[in-house]
Amino acid sequence: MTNLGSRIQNLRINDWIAAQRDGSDNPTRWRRFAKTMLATFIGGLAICYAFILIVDPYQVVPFSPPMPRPNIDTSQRHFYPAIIRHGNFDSIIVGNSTSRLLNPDIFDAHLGGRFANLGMNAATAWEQMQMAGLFLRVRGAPKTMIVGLDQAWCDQRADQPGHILTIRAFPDWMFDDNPWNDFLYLLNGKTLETAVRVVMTDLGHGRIRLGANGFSVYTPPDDSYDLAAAQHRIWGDREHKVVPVVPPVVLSDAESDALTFPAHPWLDSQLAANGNRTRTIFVWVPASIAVLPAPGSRDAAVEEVCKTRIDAIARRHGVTVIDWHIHSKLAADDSTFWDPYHHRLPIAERIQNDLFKALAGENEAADGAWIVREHGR
Amino acid sequence: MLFQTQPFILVFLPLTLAAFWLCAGSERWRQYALIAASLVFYSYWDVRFLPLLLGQIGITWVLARLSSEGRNLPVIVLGVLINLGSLATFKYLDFLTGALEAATGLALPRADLVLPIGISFFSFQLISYLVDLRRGDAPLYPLRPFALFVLVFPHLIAGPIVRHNELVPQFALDPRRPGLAQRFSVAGALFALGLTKKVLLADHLAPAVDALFGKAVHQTLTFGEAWTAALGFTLQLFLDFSAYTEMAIGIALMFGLILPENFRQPYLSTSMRDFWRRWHISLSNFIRDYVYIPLGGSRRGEARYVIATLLTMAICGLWHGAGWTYVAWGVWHGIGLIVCRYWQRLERPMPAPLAWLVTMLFVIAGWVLFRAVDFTSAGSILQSMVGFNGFSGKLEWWRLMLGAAVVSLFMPSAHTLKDRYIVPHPLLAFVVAIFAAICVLEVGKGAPTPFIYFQF
Repeated sequence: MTNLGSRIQNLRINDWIAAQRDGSDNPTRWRRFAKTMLATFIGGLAICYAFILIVDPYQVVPFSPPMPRPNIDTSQRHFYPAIIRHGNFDSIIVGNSTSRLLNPDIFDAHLGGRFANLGMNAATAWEQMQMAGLFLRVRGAPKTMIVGLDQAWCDQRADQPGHILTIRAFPDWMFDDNPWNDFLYLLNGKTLETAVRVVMTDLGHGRIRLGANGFSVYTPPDDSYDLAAAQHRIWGDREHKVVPVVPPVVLSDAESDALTFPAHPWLDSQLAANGNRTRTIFVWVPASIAVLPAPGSRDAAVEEVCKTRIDAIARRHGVTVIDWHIHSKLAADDSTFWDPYHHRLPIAERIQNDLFKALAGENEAADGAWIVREHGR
Repeated sequence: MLFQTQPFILVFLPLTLAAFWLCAGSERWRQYALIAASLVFYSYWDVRFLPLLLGQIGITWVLARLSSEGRNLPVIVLGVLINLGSLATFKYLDFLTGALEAATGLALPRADLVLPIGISFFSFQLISYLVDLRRGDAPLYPLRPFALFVLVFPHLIAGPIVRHNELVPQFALDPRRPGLAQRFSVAGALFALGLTKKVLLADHLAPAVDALFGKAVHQTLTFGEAWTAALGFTLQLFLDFSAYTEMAIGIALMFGLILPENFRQPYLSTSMRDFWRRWHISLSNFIRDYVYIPLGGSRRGEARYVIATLLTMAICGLWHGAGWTYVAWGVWHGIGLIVCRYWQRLERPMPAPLAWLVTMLFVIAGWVLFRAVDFTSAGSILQSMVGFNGFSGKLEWWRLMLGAAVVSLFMPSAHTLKDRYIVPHPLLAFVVAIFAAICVLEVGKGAPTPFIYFQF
């Protein structure tokens, strides 16, 4: 193998190298080499950095020139701070991707105010509260805040590494109040690519994926829905049914008391910081029965403790709690979902419309799809 | 501070170079500049370990002075024991406690000490100096160059393990001596090449490798997954460590210092003896000179040779980490070296491709042991690799692995690149600079992946 290596190294390129080495002790040639290398390296990076600072895709550079900066949705975590800082919004929707289909325009019309949807794909509870916290600091207490709740809020390790953040980069530097430290984080390939895409979009060669209010329909066109494919995503190779646990698990008081949900104090603190100026609505988002805890199981009992504790937080702050995250005909119907966690656009529209009914005083859906756990302000 | 991060490349290195070259005319001040930079570099990891590092350097230097140029054996032994004791305390205390616990059945408390980064490297360098002093192969150095020999930041964390006589005399050389432009150019090119290997190859292999070795703890890997894990780590380890070495050699050269070679295309080896002449050369030389030969080497009979080889390689394994899998990896290589020696005595050499294949299979199997979390998962992966769990699955990430394999097999060593392949052509300068810039943009995306050998 040594011979093979030698043979490969002795290809014609070696003749070129040998020719180049002739006179390689000439300092002038090496000086030119060093200058070329340094100029290319420094110049290349400087050009990239200047381009990023001018285009300013995340709108964090205080001196960037005015130009259209469309939200191209390469990372909601990077784009949403600009929506908060530079958009004229007084109300917010926070959550993860399951809340992204809630249309701010509909809420503007029914509840009044100017809504932004700040739901982020796979957002952890901590990330969602960072977004709400930034809004409070920059824009003041929101007029209305809708929080999409799901199993992330019942994660008993929500404050642990691997749970507090995801593998998606979270730009915490955008969430502080110092714009000048942002410069340390902008020189990278991702921001450069985003800047190029912003420019391309401005030139008519790209697609704006997020509205100015953060809303987008990220699911495929509903007329392309394929039930069999969805069922495969929902159930995999499992049997399409859930078997209740009999007799149901009942947690003792001691077992219930021992449960801790680290995300709950974050929510409590955020509501306290917002104060009475904010009308808050919690929406437990629907999920397929394939991923809901089986009735009677220990997981179901734990989730009920979690929901009860959130109800208590809601009572303290006058929050309305609407729960779609339950076993129902809707949750059992596979055609509700694209996959076990993500519902279809017509379901999102129903969640919106039924939310207004709940706020008007209704306690439950006629088909049992949701119940109101708490009526708030 | 990692070599491949933006703070190092864009801030620390330029500032250190500026400080060094501002005082280049004064031997004393340029050494102070390098010492100061190295202290900042080390403190950036964890300033709490700085007293330990400086303490070991100071005590070793004082004891060397008190040893009557090495003739006072107890003083030398004391110095060796202090350095070994530090290493044993921070790196092996919990491992030894665990072994004692397993042997006695007693429940013993753990110290849970944080491992000071680079302790294996700087402790070994200090021990080697004391041993050389005893042997009459080392002079007494003034404190400043002695401290700099250990501290100089390009090799402080992960080698190459440099012997005092390779480095200290270079401190007196004027960095402005003839050949400055060539040294600086070659240094930049070597650094860029290492950076590229690390960022664009090794770090892209890391997630797949980590995921599969993690999965093997709980599940049986398929045939395809097991080979992906084994080959992926084989390539990742070499690319990661050799990249670090090239960057270290390149950085040192920017200051006019030449660090020794550490790799010589090890995956082209056709025997285990050949492999250890090409893999982590500075460590191989160290354990040969300071462990293997004192244990008897190969000149005191066959039994002594076998014992010396197995013991040396077990220590070599243990040097890498406080775990039995490392010891087993070392013994595995010891067995390989012994079998190789007796096979070669038969004077019936295999055809080179077959010899290469056998050697690589042996090395790859060893890396599984080296990387696996425990013996159970190592055994499970090896079983899957030989088909005990069927032949399902396919080699994943094969395009990346193919590219990584070509670079691993055929890219010349750092010193060969330096002396032969890096030529003063502007096109080459342009290409390496573009790759370096791409890497700087790439590493800015998120948290950097530490070099594997930093944990040793």
